[in-house]
Amino acid sequence: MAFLKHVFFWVLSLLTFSFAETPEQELIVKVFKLFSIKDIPIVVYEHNPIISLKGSSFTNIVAECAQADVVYGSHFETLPKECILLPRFSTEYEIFHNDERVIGAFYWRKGRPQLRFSKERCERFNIFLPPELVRYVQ
Amino acid sequence: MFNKIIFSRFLTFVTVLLLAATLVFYVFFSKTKDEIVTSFERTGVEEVEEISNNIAHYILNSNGALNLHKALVETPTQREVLERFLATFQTQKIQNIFIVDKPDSESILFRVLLDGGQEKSDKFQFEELFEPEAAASWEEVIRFREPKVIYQKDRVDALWATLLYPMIQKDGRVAILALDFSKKHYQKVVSSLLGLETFLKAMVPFLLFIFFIMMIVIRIDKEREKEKVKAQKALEELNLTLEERVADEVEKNRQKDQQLIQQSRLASMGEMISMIAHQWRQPLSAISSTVQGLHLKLSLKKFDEALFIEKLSDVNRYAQYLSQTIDDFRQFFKPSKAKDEVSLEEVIEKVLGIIRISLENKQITLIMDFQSHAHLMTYANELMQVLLNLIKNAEDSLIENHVIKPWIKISTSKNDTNLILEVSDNGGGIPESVMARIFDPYFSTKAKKDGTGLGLYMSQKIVEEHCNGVLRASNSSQGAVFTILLPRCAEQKEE
Repeated sequence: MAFLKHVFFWVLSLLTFSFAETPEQELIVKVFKLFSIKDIPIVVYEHNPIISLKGSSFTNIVAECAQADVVYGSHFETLPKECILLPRFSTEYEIFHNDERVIGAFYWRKGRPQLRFSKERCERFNIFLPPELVRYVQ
Repeated sequence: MFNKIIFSRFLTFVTVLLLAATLVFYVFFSKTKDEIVTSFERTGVEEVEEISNNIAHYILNSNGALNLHKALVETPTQREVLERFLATFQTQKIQNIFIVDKPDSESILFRVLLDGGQEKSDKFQFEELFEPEAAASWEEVIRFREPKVIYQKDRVDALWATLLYPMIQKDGRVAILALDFSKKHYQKVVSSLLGLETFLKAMVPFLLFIFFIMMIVIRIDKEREKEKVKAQKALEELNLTLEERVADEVEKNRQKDQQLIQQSRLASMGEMISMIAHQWRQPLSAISSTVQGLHLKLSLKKFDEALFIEKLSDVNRYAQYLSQTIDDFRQFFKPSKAKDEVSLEEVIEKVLGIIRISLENKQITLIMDFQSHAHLMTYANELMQVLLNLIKNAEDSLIENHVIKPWIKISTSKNDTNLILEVSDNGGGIPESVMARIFDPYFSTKAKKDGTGLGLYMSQKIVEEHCNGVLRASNSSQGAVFTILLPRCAEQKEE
């Protein structure tokens, strides 16, 4: 019984620490979990973002662009060729503002977190924006 | 001097006083702290409000347009001028200063018109949409056109607050001038006050806890004191009645002893009657046969005077013998008033004089082994009763166990300190299970009608208390052995 208690404690601790997320990570994970293309959850390729999702509860992250639906990063100048055409999610407002492939962004302004989406760009890439995220559309 | 209860009560009183004082102080302090904080807040907000008022007045009057957004769209240069103007107000105290309006009343997003920020990465772009925290407060400013302060995380001790100042434009629309201002300059004082308030707050339940503990301690002490008084009273009562109770118990014991002695006497009397009957049987039989013989002679008319005189003389001798027997028994069972100088052998002979016939009738062999021949001063009759009792017990044991060739051995011996009298038999001995109890009163292994259970008890009492000796029981390979040790006096030792 005592051994089982030990095992339970360690498993719980491992699970808790495995998926310990910062508030920013949590928000971005929530966004990616809500995104879907034709009712299929999206697969993300990380490209040097400021806030990485590795180690979070979001597991649809791939190492190769070819398997991804969305590229997640800060800047996309050095993006591999096979990813160039994919929709992007940024952590910089300027990139979101200027890059036509960026469908949304999460960034900070004056100490306040901001989440923004472009409805037109999402539609272009057939990305379904759930009602929870529509209020952040500009 | 304080006793324990008074001291506990005094401590409780002090605790209650402390509790009341802390409570009053806490309420007073809490009120004062709120006033201090409010005063600081008010001063800080008034200052920022004044700045905001000046900024709003200047910006709204810097152009003739009805709407600020329109004016800024039309003249981008003015945007730069105004942003520079806003930047001049940015100090350590005012961190961010920007102006927003709300183009779409349905959306949660506001539109930034001007930002006095210098840092490029954190600077709003013109018309950048912005979602404020606590958006409802921002909506209220537009709706009610009244300034409002939003505290970070809704706490008065937050380091930053935002003043939302309504800018009523010429077309009637409201823009908001937002100023993030620092409260650091007085926050240290507020934090200290809050810390002190928390401490006082914690003191109240702590003192309350102490108070309850004290109450419990007093209660326990009170109970203990009650028990102590009760026990003392009981002890006093016991002391008062102790003598009476001791006397009662002594009297009870005396009565019990008398009862035992009485019972023992009755038992002895029974034995005496039985022994007299034994002693008398032969002479009575002799008298009877002599009288019958004489009667026959008379019937046959053969009267012989000489024979008659001889036979009547025999009858007289028999009658004398009977009388002597009664005297012997009376003497035997009469308690000795003074110690007599006797030898163990004399005592034994006297006892055998009474019981020998009974033993012979039962085919019990008597074995004598006398090695002592010394005299001692003792209560001879009591000692005879003891010896008689031991011999009777041996006899009963031999009869009960149907021993073939039964014998009783009576031996005497002596050592430096004692004369020793031993009565042993071949009746099988005393079972080990009852050995420890044979000298207890009312303990008997004989069938109930035969034994009173007092014989050995009384024998031991007589030997130990009257004769200052020791009576011991043990088992030999053939049967029981009772040993009487009687102390020798100095003269006897020399003898």
